[in-house]
Order: sequence, then structure tokens, then C-alpha cells
Amino acid sequence: MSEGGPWVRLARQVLRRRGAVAAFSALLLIVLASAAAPLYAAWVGVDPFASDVAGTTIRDGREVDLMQPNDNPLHLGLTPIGPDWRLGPYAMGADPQGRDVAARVLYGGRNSLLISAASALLCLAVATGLGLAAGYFGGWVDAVLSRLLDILWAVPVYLLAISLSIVTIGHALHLGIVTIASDNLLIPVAIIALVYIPYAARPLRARALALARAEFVLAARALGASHWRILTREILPNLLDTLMVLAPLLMALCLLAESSLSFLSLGVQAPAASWGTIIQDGEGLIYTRPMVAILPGLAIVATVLALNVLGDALRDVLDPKGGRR
Amino acid sequence: MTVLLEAHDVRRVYRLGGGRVLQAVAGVSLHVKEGESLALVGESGCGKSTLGRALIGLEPVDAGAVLFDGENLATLTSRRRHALRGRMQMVFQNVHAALNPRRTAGDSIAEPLRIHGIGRAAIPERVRVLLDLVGLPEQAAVRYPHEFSGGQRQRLNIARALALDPALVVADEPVSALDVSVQAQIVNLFRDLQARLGLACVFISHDLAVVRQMADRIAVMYLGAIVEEGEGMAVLAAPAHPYTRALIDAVPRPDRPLPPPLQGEVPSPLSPPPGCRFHPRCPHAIGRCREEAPILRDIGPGRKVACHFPLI
Repeated sequence: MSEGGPWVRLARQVLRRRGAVAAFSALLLIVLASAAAPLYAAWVGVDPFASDVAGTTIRDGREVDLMQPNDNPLHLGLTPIGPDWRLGPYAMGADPQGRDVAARVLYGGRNSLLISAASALLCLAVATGLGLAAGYFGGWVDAVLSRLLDILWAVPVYLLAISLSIVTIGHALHLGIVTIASDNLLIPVAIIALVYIPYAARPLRARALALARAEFVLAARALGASHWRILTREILPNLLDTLMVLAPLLMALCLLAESSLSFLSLGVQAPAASWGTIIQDGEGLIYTRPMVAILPGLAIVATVLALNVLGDALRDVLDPKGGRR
Repeated sequence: MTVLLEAHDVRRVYRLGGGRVLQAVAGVSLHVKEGESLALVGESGCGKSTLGRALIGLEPVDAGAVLFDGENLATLTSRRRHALRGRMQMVFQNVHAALNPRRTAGDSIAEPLRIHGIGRAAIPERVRVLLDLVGLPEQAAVRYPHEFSGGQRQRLNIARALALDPALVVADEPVSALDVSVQAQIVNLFRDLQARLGLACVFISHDLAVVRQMADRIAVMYLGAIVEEGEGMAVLAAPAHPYTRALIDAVPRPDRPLPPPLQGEVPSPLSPPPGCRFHPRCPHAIGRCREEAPILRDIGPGRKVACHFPLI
């Protein structure tokens, strides 16, 4: 029997796993780097949001154009300057509008991480409410909620997200006295959260259903505890395990959805950046300046991988079916 | 002694899919006096747990009535029901599931006090007294359920049940999940607490050795109905119902070989047999038993049996 509360035990067990520690460190690095985006931009002296197709930069002591003649035999069109792999302006080259790719990837990380984390949290909050209600009250409440979730889950997530985005894009939303501008980040957050609610609500409902029949809940009823008190003080604290496993896995899914929407110009709107929009910027340059698309692509892969490793580690530690308690 | 709890012809029916009906409790009448302990004995699935929960209003009854201190649990106002909650409590069988794993022991024991509006300042002292009452040290309050053994957890469950000074405790198989050596400790604790606090107790068990220790009176249940009732020692010494006889004979004793066990399984409560519910397994059953259901009738002072041909 180990000492200490549940949180101490959890932290100890997670820290014993090398993969989880590595994933957590990687995530921390990505988050800190993204948070430091303005510092980086100011330090190297670039404006990642202003189009600068006529601009110049210094390479090897010489002033060079950001947009250079093509390498093709006819020298038709322009290609943005490539990476020089040195700390400084345009270390990773420029995008088709002459903006610093490295700075934009860092700024893009802010939006991508913010939107995916916010939508994962929003999704979990709603799914917890639905799962608790369906699992605890059962009967017709469960029947109605579960069928609604089934219907939502039957619609392909990306199709639903894309359709909703197309409807909301370019139109400000008027909700009573509140107006949400079409480029407000809340719109992709809400859409992504909505499409993944069934993904999160189903395991939460199953857990709440099992907990609702546990004897300590019966004991609370025998003591005269109200439904609200039982839900918030007996059942909800025991859903934390499930929530902690779901959170990173869900955030990974949300990040992928956000990137896809942004890639399709249906998420973050120019001139703001997200990893998805930068990949789109680099799409046409994939043969000549592959770093424009590869860099945000790597960021997505690294973040999703780290989130999944972390989620799996938490699942191993917390899931009773893992048999590791 | 005045009667604390009365059940009149209590029935509990579960409607399953496909129009099937499960009679978990099929018309039970019983009473518990103040400070008395009544043992409900029977095989698993005989409805004793359902009846136990119905006795403290945790399970609705479909017919009949449960009266606590003369008040019908089914018709109470919610305010009155809340007030009565503290006076009738339950101790559960599964010691591992009966405590919220996310709460410390002290927090679990304090919960009833908070629910019933006991002042915050008085709670720590009350928790200390309760822990002491069940023989746990004060330091146990800050520990989590997983840090306790099964016996200690059952002590915590008892402490929580006693927090509001109940007059009645329904204990559903309180020792059957424990090691035999620990069972005796918990049984002794129960007896001690009953004597000290004047608790009435409904003790649900299938273990006659435990029942012998605990019960002033015994009610034997078979397929949702009581088949025999009487003073504990009298019933165990001279059972009147063949089923009670079989239960007693099934306990191994060193001084005799084990008699042949009962034939067959307990019939499904979905389709109870006609006539006496016990007749398919009864060694003495004759034609009348297959057709006419015996009623629970008095055969002596405080002694009742539901059998056409009682053994005494």
C-alpha cells in the first residue's frame, strides 16, 4: 500500500515511464516555443504577418531579394528565398508572400495549440455534463441523449466540421445581442468541440453508469445526499481518471481537425497563421521550397505523437482494465 | 420494547424485457423492535438484499408498506424523509466499493454530518469520536480507502453509518467479503455497538455461524418470501421448515457426516413454482404442497412457519 493521495500516486507512476516523460517534455518545449513567438519575431527582426514580396534580407553579408527568380530554364515567376539554417531572419526561408516561415510556424503553433486545447476542453466539459446525466439518471434521459450522440457520431466528423465551417465562414454570427465576427477563433473551437462530443461522451457515460451503481453512491443516497451532491461530489471526482486519459487523446484529434480545416481555409483566417494554413501556403512550393510545408507538418506530427504517447501512458496508469493499479 | 420498523406485505417487482416479471420480494411482513437484531437468512438471489434496501427506503415498494416509527416511508414529504435518513442507515457487503476512493476516510465519515447540516466546527471532533467508536486511530482520518485492509474499511463503513446516531442499521452481508479471522472482529464490533448504542439491526446473511452470533430473531427467506421466523436459538435448535433444516444441515460439523444436500437449484424467481415455493426441492413434499401455497402462520409464541407439515 503506497502512501499519499491519488494525485501523488499518479504523478509517481507517470514519471516512472520514460516515454511519458519524453512526450511531456516535447509538449512543454513546443508550447513554450509557440508562446515565445513574439519574442522570436522581435529578436530576429521580422514581421510575420505583413506581406513583403519586394523586401530584402542579408545573406552571407550581401543584401538579397526575398523573392528570387525561378531556377527553371526560362526564369519565369518568383520563388521565395530558401532556408539558410542559421539563427536570424528567414532562417527557414520565406513563404510566397515574403514572410518569415520560422516565425510564422511559431505563431501558427499558438493558434493551433490554443484552438485544439480550447476545443478539447469545451468538448470535455459538454461531454462530461451529457455523460453524467445519461449515466446517472439512466432511463429516458439516457435513451434520448445516447441516441442524439449516436446520430452525431454517425456523421463523418470532417464532413460535419467542413459543412459547419462553410456555413459560418464569411458571415458574422448574431446570437441575440452578441455578435461573433467570422474570423473569431471561437468559431473553429466550437465546431471542432461539437463534432468530437460523442467521442468523449461515450466513455464518460459508461463510467458514470458504472459509478452510479457503486455502493458508495448508494450509501450517499442512504445518507440523503441530493442528486447534485452525488453527481458533483461522488461521481465527478471519479471521472477525473477518464477525463485525464481523454484530454490528451482528444486534443490530438482536435489539433488534426483544426489543421485540416485551416488547410482548407475554413479555420484560422489570413493573415493569422496556424500550422494548417502554413502547409497550404507551402503546397505550391513543395518541390522547390519544401520546408514551408514540412516545418508545420513536423510540428503537427510531433505534437500529435506526444499527446498520444502521453494519453496512452495515462491510460496505462489509470485504466483499471490495464490491470496496473 | 416498542416496534421500530414494520413491513406489511411488501412486494417488489422488476419488469424485465419481453413482458417477464421478476418478483424479488413477494409479500413480506416483519417487524423489528428497538435495540433488537433480526437476521434475514437465505441463499443468494432470494430477495433479501432487495428487501433490506426497501426497509430503509432505498428501494421503492410496489405494494405493501414499510413503517418506520409508525411513518409510512412511501408517503413521507421529502423534508421528513431527509430527516429520517439519519435514523436508518445501511452497511454494505462490498467493502471495496462502499467508500469513495477519491475521499479520505475522514471526509467519507464527515459527509453525513455535512449533508445534515452539522456545524463545520463540530465535525472534526465527531469524526474522531466515530473512529474511536469503531476502533480506528485518529490518524486514519487523513488516509484513503486503498490504504486500509478489508476489515478496516468495514469499520469505516460502520462509522459512516453511525455518524447520525441511527436507531436502525441494515447490514447487508457485512462480513461475507472478509477473511474469517476478520469476520469475528466485525461481528464482535457489531454486537458491542448494538449494546452500547441501543441499535436495532437487520442483519442480512447467508452464513448461519455469523447469524448465530448476531441475531435475537431470525427470518428465513426463500424465493422472495419468509418461510420461517422465530427466536434465534429456537429456530437454529429446532427448525420448523424443511428449508431451514436443510440450511442448518448444510453447515459442516465435526461430530457428524454431512447429510445429503438439497436436490436441485433454486427455481427462477421469473417463474416460481405453484403451491409451496419450496416443494420441488422439499424431501417431504406431497400432493397438497404442489397445489396449495402455505401461509405464514403462528405455531408458538413468536414462532411462525409457512409449511403445511412443520417439523415441530
